[in-house]
Amino acid sequence: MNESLFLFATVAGTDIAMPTHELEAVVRLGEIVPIARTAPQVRGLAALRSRVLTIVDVRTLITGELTEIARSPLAIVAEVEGHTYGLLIDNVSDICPVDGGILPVRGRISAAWEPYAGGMILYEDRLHLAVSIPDFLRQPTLAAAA
Amino acid sequence: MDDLLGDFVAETLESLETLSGEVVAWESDPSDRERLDAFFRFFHTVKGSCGFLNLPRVEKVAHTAEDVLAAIRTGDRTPDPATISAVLTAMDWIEAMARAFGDGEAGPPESDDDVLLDMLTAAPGVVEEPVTKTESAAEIHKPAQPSGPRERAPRTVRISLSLIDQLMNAVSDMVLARNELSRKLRDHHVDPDVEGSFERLSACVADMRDMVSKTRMQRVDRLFTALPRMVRDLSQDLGKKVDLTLEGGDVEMDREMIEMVLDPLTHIVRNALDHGIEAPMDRVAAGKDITGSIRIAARQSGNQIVIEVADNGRGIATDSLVAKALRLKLISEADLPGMNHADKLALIFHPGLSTAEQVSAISGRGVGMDVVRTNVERIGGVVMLDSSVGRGTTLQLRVPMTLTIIPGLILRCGDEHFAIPRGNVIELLHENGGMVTVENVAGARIATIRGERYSLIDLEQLLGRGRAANVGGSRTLMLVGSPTGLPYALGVDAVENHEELVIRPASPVVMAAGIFAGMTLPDNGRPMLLLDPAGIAQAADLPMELPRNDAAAEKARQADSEKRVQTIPALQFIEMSGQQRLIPLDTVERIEDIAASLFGTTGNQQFVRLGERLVPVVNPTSIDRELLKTLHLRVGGQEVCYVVHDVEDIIDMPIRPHLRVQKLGIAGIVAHDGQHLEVIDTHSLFAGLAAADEAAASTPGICLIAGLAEDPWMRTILAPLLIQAGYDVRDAEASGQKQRGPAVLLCDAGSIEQPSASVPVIRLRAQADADMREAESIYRYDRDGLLAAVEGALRRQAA
Repeated sequence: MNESLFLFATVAGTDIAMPTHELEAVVRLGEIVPIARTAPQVRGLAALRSRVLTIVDVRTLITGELTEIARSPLAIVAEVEGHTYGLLIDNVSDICPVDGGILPVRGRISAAWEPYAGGMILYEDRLHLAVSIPDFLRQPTLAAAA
Repeated sequence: MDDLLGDFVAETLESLETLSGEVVAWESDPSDRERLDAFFRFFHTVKGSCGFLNLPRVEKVAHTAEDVLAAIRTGDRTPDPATISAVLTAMDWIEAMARAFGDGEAGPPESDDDVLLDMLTAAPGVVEEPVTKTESAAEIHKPAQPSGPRERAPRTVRISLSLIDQLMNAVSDMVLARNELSRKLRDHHVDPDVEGSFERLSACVADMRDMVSKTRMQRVDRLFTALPRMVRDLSQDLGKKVDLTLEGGDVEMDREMIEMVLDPLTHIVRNALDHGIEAPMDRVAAGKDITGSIRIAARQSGNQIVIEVADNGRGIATDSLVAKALRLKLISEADLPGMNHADKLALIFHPGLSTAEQVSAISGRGVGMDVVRTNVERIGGVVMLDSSVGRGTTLQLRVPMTLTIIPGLILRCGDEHFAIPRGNVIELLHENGGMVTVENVAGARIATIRGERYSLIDLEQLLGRGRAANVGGSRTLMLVGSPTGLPYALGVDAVENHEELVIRPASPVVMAAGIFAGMTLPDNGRPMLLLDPAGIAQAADLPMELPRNDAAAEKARQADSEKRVQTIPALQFIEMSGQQRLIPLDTVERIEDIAASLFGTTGNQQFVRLGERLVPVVNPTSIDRELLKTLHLRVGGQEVCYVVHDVEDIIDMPIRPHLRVQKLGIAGIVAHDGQHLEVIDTHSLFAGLAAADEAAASTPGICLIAGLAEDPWMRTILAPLLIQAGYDVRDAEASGQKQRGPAVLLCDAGSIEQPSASVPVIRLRAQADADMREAESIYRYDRDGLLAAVEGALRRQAA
């Protein structure tokens, strides 16, 4: 398998990894302007220079709880289908190439993570859940969550 | 050197291409300063480049032409036809030379140069100094720089769209950075020198933003390119003969907009071909030219692009539409009497209604017109339809020129800010203003504005924010018209600003809320959402259309409209002298308390200062208190103020006063509730002011009025007005079809009168704001608009 770069992060206590080609940057956000009448995980809009990000709380998708928004929350910036999103995450640990690539899932993944699990990734002797950013932003999951 | 030469050739040819469109216009009006400047700049640029590239022949000609134009600019020389054609010849010559350089050929022979220069310099009445001549003669014999064989120079550069988008973003970043810097400079009180430099930078940034937005514009030609082929293929399949005319391909609109309009337009053209244009035999039988015609024209109208598709086919048979709608139970028998021609035509936009007797493979089962309308409305446009059986159908798409920049109002709701397209906002009012009453009936909020009842939506409630205890005074009501359905009132905390907003699409998760149309990043760097007026109405479950199935409501509406024919709403007020008077409500724009300090008097003319404008007061008043209640009257473009003691009520005033009086400024007396009230003659109010501009003699002609005998408004208000303006007024029904001299027909907006070749039709509507089907009409109290339309129609005929 090809060696590819992955970003390692933590959401709601789970270690996840996503391919770096899916994301643009990890940034600290400024003010988030809330939006009414949207799904709970849509936390609002934030400006990144002249771009406007739609902020999606990954924790809400998984656990239904809202991430407590700190002074300058950490977010992964990604462009999906022409729109720019910021995914709220708890922590980012590293960006690293992974030799083994994505491993098949073993064991039973909890129902909350199920829709997003794309496999496992071994990094620094620990397994991370391989996820894909567009999965978090797909409409059906959002509709179901809403 | 070769690269530079190539750039020069490409640039020159490109500017020539741009200018070629202007040539004819300049020829017809050589005094047009802007065009003159454009030509001057062209020659100036060419001269500069040639000097640099060492192309003396071209430089010489460009230089001479530039001198000629400079002389015209300063007024030393008149742009007579000979001079203009000399300049044009010079342009052609430069083009030939540039092409020759591009192809590596020799170009026009040098011997032509002198002839050309002579043409340019030899203007009648102007003696050229011989010095220039000798110099030019000397220079002209220098051999031109030989250029080697080369590829034909490209005229444009292809750029990927993503690069343009990146450029756009970069410029937006720059604007934000500039704003931040500007704030900081203000805070730090820097010295004026730095501020000066900053201002220059600021201007450059603004220019750049404008230029970059222009890169997104494309010619409507792109919309048209596929059409001729499609029409040709389709007409062959259908065995029909069709002439397709395309006009206005040079109109520019946003690239995204073009893509959005492409499908609806294609659909409309298919419909026109399939359903509109008859088979050749039918056309002959109907006495028409065997070849049908479809004309597609684009034009710019303000910040809208109007695309009109007109065919001369069989038109839309409203009877069969109605019959079908009845069969499908879309409407009921009881609705029929209340529907006018336009209402019936509008049925075609109903989902699932097709007029074609046979379903064809081309345009299917009438799936489409509803989709067309939905698609066009989604991008903030409207579709308008007119059709007459046997004559053809005209469809108009009106879409905004660009999706990206719209004028918007910024409103506050709690501590959130939103934008709303200014075009959708009909009026702004204060909740506790004199003209508004808000009632709660069984949970429904209703705002009554000048006697009209509207559904009231509180934005906080819609957003689920819960309304904060009424802090800081009264709320603002916005009367919002959505492209479909009825206007409604939207209650917000305040309207704070209006701005040109750069709108971007919002992500699907945000659009899912259903009440937003996009998002924008204003200069303060805090993202803001754009409200979607139609979406809000939908989210609030407002009735989108008149309840057609509800016969009782329809009857009530009819009764109401019948009543409205007889009476018009009028504002009852108390004059400063204590007298009770009436004024037609339509003329009153708003009522305002104005501080006495804003009033001034010069000679006999009293005026009020409103912002930067001075508005005349038509009833000069002694100012004896701090605040004066003032009526703002507006008809057409004119605005005047009328000072009153107080406003009493709004009543329905009969159109024909109970007693006519011959007194200056009074139209008559009306009895109401045991009082007698004088009615202000608003026409004379404005006429007095406008006497100067009205002095222009009107074209003599005949005004035919449809329904002069039955309609009291036509008889008592319109007819006297037209007679006063010097026209001959006749009843359309009574007088025969034959008219001598130019004539124009005036009728109600709902009337089915069709224009004929000899008599144009002017439609008048009772409401100040046009609804979609009546947009081609004139508001009946828009005196200026009405007279201008009559004048224009008669003049066109006389010409």
